[in-house]
Amino acid sequence: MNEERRRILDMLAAGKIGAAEAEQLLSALESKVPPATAPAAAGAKAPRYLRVLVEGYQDGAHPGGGKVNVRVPMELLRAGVKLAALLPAGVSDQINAALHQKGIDVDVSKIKPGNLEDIVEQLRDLTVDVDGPAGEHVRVFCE
Amino acid sequence: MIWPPSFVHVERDGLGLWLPVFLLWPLLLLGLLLAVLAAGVALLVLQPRSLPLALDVGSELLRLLCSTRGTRVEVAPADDFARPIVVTVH
Repeated sequence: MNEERRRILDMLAAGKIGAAEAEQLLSALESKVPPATAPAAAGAKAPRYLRVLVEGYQDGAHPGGGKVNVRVPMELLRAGVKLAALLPAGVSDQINAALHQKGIDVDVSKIKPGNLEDIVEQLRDLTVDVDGPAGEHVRVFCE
Repeated sequence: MIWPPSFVHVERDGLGLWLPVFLLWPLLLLGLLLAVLAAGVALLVLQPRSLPLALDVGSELLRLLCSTRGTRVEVAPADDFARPIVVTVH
């Protein structure tokens, strides 16, 4: 968040300006920002694959650490989300309960294809790195 | 329009094997037609209102199958001397 934006929000929080004035100021601020990032984002190539890399997993049977490299087409994710959107409510509840047991609190019935596009858009510049308890290193990114 | 996978390439120990999955397309089409017919008749008798939903699910399942093209799974065992196993859907 830039300084001017923060100042407007501070003024709104302090009650110095009303919500309507804050909105006007914020929109004026947005129109002032040069659209330098927009063409870059539009010109950037959309990611085609989701990559998941797991390295160095170690357990008693495999002390050396193996490697798994999975490449999933984005189109497959889109098709999966579209299919999930068609699931009846009862089925979605069962899936949600199973995910909750695994520690993932996601309501699959609320994931729509439009949401996936937003996620893909965000994943373009994002890499998720996780170090697991068994010494494995998991990396998720788009390409 | 995208098509179902045509080949699956399996690579192990430096040897590649191309599996012509497209040969299964007629069987797949037949199975799909039979499944649609059976589901359609069953739904018409049991739950006529669910028929459009069943057709949507059928088409999305087909799209899911077609979208597997490009999937690649590589598994390298922990043993340094073992070569990775790579499966690619084309």
